[in-house]
Amino acid sequence: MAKEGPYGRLGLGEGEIPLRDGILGFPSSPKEKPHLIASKCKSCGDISFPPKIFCGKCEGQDVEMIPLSSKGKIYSYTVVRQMAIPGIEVPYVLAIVKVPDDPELLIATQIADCEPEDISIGMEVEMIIDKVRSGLTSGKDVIGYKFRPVKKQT
Amino acid sequence: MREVSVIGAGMVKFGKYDGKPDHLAYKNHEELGVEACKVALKHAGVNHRKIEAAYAGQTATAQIQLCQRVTVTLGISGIPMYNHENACATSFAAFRQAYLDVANGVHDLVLVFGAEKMSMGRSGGAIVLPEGAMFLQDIGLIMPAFFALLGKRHMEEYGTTREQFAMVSVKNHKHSTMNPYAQYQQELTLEEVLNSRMVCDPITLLQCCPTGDGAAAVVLASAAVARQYAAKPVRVLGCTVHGGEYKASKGNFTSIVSCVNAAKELYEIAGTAPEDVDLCEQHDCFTPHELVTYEDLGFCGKGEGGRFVEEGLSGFGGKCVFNPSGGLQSKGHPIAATGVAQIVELIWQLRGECGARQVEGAKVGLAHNGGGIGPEFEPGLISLAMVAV
Repeated sequence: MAKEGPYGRLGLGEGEIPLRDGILGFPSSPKEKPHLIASKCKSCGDISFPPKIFCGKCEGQDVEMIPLSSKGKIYSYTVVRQMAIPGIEVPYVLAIVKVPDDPELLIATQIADCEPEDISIGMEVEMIIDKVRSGLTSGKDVIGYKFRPVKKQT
Repeated sequence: MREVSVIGAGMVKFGKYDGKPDHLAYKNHEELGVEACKVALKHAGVNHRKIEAAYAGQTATAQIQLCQRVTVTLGISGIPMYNHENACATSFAAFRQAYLDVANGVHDLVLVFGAEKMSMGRSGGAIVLPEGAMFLQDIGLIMPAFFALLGKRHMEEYGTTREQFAMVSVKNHKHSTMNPYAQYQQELTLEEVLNSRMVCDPITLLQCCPTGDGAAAVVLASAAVARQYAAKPVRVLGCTVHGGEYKASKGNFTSIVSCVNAAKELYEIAGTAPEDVDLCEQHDCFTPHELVTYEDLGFCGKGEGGRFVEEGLSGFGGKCVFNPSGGLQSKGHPIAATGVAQIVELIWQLRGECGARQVEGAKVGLAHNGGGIGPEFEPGLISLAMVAV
């Protein structure tokens, strides 16, 4: 397995594949936080995640890749209690997270380190890099992003 | 474009044709499809030799060329044959292609069917793609979770309750007791629905459509040909399909925006408004979808879907009867058969052939069929059709 920092994996390990190429910004040192890579339209400024090669809003073709803030808030959530996708153990918490970069952007994500009864709309969450599923076709673990509740400073 | 009518409609009872104890006798895709087509041809009074083109809806369970495998048994050959796939909107997509071909003068008399057999599949028949195929599935966003996220946010913004979602299931199960073609035909209480196993909060097991097998078929004709066969042809006022919209997958997730847009287009083409619609066969795969669709199709204002079902406005005696057949919730959802089966119910209703579940004086019917997941928080396809007598 790859090295881990306080915000999850610092890179891909043996036998691991990324959820998608070009969406994960790994930290360059354990002190840094990871980030997601989104596309931003150079004309209208609209942001897309997962990144697209065009603008979903104005249909412009000129986009650049940008890092997204690693903190956000829960917009909606559910707890999946029935196994439907081989390779993901139930129960797991799924959510839509909003980040400050673009209030319109909805990010679908698993929520880590959170008991199903503890989650709520509006909760502050931060991004980590973690295994999102076992790959059954590829035989390799799929490494992607999750969000987790921000721990209150004590 | 020419006027198009549906002159015959048929289906087999939905259920599990796997031959297991308490299930239906084993039947394969071909047998199910043949049976539905025979009923539809007979209903239309059309000899199979008159059919000019055939369109099938099939998913991966049927592998290849189901249209040919079914029509060969019916004695139909040597004509154009098409096989369509579009997730849960599979046979609806076949219906639309057939409708367009008749409307555009390519053919005058055609057969459309969908046949499905999920009972032999893994995961209870659910379709699961290999990893890497679809982003949202890769992170675990399965179909009930999609509608759970929609429902949960609807609760937050509009005060919609768990009970109101559950009422959709109670209503549709009640309707199904009057439909001999439904997979499940028993009434459920609100408590039974709410207390059944939680699948994806707020969606409990009895708010999820079942998996199953089945087939449905319709015969379409141009106006001139329709008059030769049917005393009361059911006219197709409009049929539209919309892929999920990128622009709509941002901002809020309390509506299916592509449905709102598709509905506007359909009402304009058909020259109708929600007030004209007597019944709607709606894609109630998971209960929040029906509740939100009341709003998206314009039957009530944004945020009023919960009240709409609670006040009985989507049941018999209400503003518009949603899912008199029992809907996907209880009639069942054999994926490739669903779209055409919705049309079948509309045709039978508008011809006054539905017995105990007949919507009295039904003149205008609407079908709403969704398929898959498209760009992030949008479906893969929304399909709508308006029919009238």
